[in-house]
Amino acid sequence: MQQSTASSAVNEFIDGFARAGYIASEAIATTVFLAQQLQRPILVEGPPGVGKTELAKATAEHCALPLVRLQCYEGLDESKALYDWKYSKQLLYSQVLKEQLHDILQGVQGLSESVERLKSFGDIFYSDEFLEPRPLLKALREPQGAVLLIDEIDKSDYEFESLLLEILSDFQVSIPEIGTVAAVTKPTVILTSNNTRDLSDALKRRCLHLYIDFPDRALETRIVQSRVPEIPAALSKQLVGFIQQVRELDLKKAPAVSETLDWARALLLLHAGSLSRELVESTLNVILKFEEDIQLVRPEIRELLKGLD
Amino acid sequence: MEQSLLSFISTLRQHDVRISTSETLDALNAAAVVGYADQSLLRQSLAATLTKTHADKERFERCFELFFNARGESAQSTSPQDKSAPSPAAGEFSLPDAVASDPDVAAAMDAPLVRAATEGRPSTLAVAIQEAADEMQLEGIRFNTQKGIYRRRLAEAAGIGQLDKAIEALKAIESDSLEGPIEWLEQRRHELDMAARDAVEHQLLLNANAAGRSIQQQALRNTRLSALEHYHLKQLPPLIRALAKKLATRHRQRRRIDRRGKLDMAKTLRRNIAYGGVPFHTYWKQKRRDQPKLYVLCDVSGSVSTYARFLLLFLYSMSEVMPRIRSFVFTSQVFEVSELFDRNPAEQAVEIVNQRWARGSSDYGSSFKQFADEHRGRIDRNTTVIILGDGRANSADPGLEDLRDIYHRAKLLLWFNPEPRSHWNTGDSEIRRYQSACHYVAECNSLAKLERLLDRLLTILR
Repeated sequence: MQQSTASSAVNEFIDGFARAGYIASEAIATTVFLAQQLQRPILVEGPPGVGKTELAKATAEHCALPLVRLQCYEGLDESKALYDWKYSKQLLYSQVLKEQLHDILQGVQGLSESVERLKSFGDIFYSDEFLEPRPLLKALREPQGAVLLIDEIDKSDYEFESLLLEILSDFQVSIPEIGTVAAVTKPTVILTSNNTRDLSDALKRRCLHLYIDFPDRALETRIVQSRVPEIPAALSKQLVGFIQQVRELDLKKAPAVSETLDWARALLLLHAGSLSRELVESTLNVILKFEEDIQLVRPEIRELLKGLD
Repeated sequence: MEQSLLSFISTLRQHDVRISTSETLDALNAAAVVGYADQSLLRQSLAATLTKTHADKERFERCFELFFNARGESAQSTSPQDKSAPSPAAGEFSLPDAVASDPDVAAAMDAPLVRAATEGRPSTLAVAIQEAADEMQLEGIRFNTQKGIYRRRLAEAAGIGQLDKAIEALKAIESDSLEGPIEWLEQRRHELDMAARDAVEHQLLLNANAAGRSIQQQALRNTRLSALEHYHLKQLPPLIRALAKKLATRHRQRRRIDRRGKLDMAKTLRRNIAYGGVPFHTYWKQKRRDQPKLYVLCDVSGSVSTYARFLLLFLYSMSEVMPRIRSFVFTSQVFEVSELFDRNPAEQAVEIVNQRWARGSSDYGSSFKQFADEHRGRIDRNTTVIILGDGRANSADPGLEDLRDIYHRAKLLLWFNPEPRSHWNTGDSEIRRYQSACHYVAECNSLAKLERLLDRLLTILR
């Protein structure tokens, strides 16, 4: 019984993703399901353009949660990722309040008594009022929970990874002036990586791992049909077949799913009914982004088209 | 089932998949959530929790197939639905009442395994094997030669003795009418024995490759470099590369905040609120790379030719993963090979170096003089110089003065000597004199030692 609920939950994810326009394999749905059950972040790896970021968006849509996105880059630090103090506001208030100080301290005798009096007002400058939440803190504070997307974690510095560890394992952050802020509702965290560098073991250990590869022919055809529904079935089959073959060649950058979709839209605009050599040649730059790659594929087009039949 | 999951994880570990305790707990939780009945769901759940790289995933798939499918088969044949399936030589088992009431026979027949068999639950045998295997830790088997002993122990643990006793008890009565039942029991005994053999062989298949490989690698790492046979050469480069990469990741360069660059307004204001916004302390945004410089000189003369190849390979791998290495080779003159290493793949680069420069005997004196003259200006408190060589100066000038000069300028000057310590200071070895001009002289003739030395070195450099 327990097993049937699990597999039906996984199927529900697949359906939900499909409604959000994301065609997911069973492995993807299982991992997202597990992540929510075990309350673990997901580390998604794979070549660029296979829909790693889309997965987060689809998850947010399916679960009806807000998506909080943090784009990583070199030099990203806690004041941009976690929280910052509204320093100008603090400064302004401190100037304004200077004048109030006189009223507050009226009738106080001696230094120690005035310190005592001031103490009773609490630590106003380092309070929520002056706290500027950045994406990570924002995600923790969402009352209904959120989908937190930490995009391209491999682009960030090594130090930033360590900063994430507390959030990823305990869903809390420590702010020295305030204390520990724990998540209201634990968010679903999705990290993506293009594998430009090795992530630390400590980070990997805390995450479920999901590798998304280029989809196979059947899946990619379904993706094209779901995202570009106007395209004739025969053409979509042809173009997916063509792309699948191109990926086998030794290219600098293999065409990704997003490029397949772009190409489908382009062909639709050109009112193409089927792939011909001239058509492919003139639109090759939609799927290939390096001149060398185009040079390499161009003479092969005839062969590749033959391979479709 | 948890037990099999744990032994599955230990199998994965043997296949070089790194799994920590917290990942093991995750896997157990995941399995508890999805259940064990749906194999593909279980496989995907375990894959997500246990494997963290693409390469691991492939190993995982292979192991899963081997591990659970064999178990799955035996588990299936034990499921109650299969009871009706005709098993060879099954048939009913019955004893004449007169025999059954014999006290010896009754006692033997009452043993749990015998009872299960005679009452028509043949599946119990397979279950018994599985349980016994888990209990005696069959996954400990490593070598073909252990097969016999594991098989016997497994069969005994599963309760083959009970069947033997029952057969003996029946034989003791010596009645023709018992031939059928005896044969029936012997058939069961044979089945149990075969099941034990299958289980052992299967486990061996699962373990053998991984264990064999890791033992071989272990051995390779600890073997003296000069003693390695030619056929091992092929296996070394990946090993060396992995080692260099490991060192480089662990000792990745740090960046430190410096008093240069753009003023960090936010931080400066924030930190100066206490002074009414007057910037007493300034904070800067610019980060400066704090890079140690590393110069490595490798002797490639005749006397170290057996080691040179490995030292060069290692040097190559290091320069691949650490950007600020400058590599040199020398015999009587010093040649920089950093660029050569950048341009050529490892094997080829080593080959070129060997062809072009590895000739004649070393002249430390002139080499050190040349090196010091050319690079003196660039060697400072942030520089580490490593010399790989045996310190055999062929009774010529050892070039101690120049070396000492480098020693004073550099942060560290290290000498890695591929000769065993017992050979030091024999013959024309000048290593003792060189010791006076080095921060540290170390014996370094196996990969394991090299790794330890460099690990320590890189820790110091940070």
